[in-house]
Amino acid sequence: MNRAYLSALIPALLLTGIASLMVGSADIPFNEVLKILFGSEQPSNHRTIVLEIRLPRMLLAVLVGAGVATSGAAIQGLFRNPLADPALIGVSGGAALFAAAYLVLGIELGISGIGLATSAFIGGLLTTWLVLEIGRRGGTISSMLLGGVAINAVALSGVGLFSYLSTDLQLRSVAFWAMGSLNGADWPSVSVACVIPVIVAAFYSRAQKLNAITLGDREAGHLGISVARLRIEIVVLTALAVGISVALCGVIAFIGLVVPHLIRLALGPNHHIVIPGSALLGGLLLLLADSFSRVLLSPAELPVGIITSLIGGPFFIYLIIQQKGRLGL
Amino acid sequence: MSIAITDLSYGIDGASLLSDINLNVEQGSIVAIVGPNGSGKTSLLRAASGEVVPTSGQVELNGNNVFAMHPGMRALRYGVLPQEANLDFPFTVEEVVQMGRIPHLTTMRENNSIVEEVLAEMELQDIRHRIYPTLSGGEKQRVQIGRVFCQIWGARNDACLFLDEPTAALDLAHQISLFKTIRQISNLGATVMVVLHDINLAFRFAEHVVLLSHGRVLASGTPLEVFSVENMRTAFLVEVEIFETNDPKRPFLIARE
Repeated sequence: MNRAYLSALIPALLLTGIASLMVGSADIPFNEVLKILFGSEQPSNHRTIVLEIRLPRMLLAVLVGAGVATSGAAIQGLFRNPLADPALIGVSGGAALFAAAYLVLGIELGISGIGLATSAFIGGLLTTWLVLEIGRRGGTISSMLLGGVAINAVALSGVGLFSYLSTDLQLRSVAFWAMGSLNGADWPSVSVACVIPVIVAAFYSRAQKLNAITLGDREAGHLGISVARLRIEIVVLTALAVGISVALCGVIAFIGLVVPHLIRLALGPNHHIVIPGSALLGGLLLLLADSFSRVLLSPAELPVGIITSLIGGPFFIYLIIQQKGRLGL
Repeated sequence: MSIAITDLSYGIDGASLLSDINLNVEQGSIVAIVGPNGSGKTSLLRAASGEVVPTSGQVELNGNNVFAMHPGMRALRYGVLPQEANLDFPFTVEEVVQMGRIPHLTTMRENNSIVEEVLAEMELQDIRHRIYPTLSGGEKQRVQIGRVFCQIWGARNDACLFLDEPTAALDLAHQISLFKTIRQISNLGATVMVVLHDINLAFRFAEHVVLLSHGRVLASGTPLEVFSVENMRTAFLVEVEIFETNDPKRPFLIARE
């Protein structure tokens, strides 16, 4: 039954994908989009818009949305806390800081997508480790969450500092890093993002272990699971997914928080459903948000993070109230 | 399986929690661990179940070192119920019990039939679709016990159960039916170590009692031998009175003011 609902997300994603190719500063009708995708080869303005601008952007939105949402699902399971989100606990901030540092310090080396993504990954890895360590020493999950908030603030102010010092145009736009944008989408960035489905598959293959760890570390250990190893694996995978996403489109907040929740609410907490469900719905929601960001003030566009934060912030407050005493604060 | 604990000592950050524990548990027996708060009951259970590595000493299972066993292999025969469980994710009762099958490579059909048997045994059928975090404390405890039973159900003739205060939140009827189940499982050959607060439950159901005090074994033997007025005074600093029942081996005991 749940799997049937899950597969209903696939046609929804396809339809939204096609719709996103139609809208923007120039409206392109449905038939023409199909023709450009599957038929005529005659060069035209619309053809360039669809194939070189909107299609890579659509794919990037879906891939990044899937990566961030499944990371959120996995670390919520790992931390046994529904408020863990890579953007809230500073993983994305750390990745953004290292990406910005790479741009500022690495300009002579020549900027390549891979180098940028690698340094964002290292930044994400370091901050996740720091957050885990704070949590371990603080002894509670709330100390970990609050530590993450502090690290996030430090990382984002570091990004601000780099942006202030830098002359690079893209980097000077703090909004890009802090709010996130799919503005820079092109085929090379899509090819980097193609690692994300592999990461999602790796999360999925650990679904059973994530289910076990929701019982508690000790309980999972007695079910034969090496908790320490699982923790490292999930942290590395999360840092990888978030690092790539941040390098390509900045910090996109709240997708990692909201999406796994919606899936759990609708389909239950089993990670065999939550991981693929979050991948599909994360891709769908980020694509929707990005399409709105392009249409709302057309021909100008909003950073997509403004939209995800506008929806995600109130949702976060709702969760805090709904969780009541269970946060261990 | 038989459990042999020799010269076991364990401590954290310089504080000694267990010292020089020696204990042999025969296959198929029920051993109750009792003692005042902080006397090391839970630590002993954690060391015996291989969860924490002791500072010194040995725990052997049929002659094999527990700490050298692969966790995945150990999980096939070892069911462990920790004292408190915090599960905040909205799994159903049935799903939580099913998690006991995670270590096993048995077929779905076999797993399902085991889950059904355990749900029936723990009287959980009526609440099988309820959401775990919405249950009462006693219901949660029965679900967690069911999960642990589910884990070793297929190997009851050769399993070890480690239960840390399984009756703490249970009502009287469920306490009795739980111990009946435990006794059935042990009659099939499973070895059971259970931490108990309720001396009278230990009196009634345990074959062997270990009384701990300040991390040491104060007394070890049958309930009648261990729960003497003197031992209770030394361990708990209370005066007790022991009353006969119609089973001369199993009297009951109350503390005087």
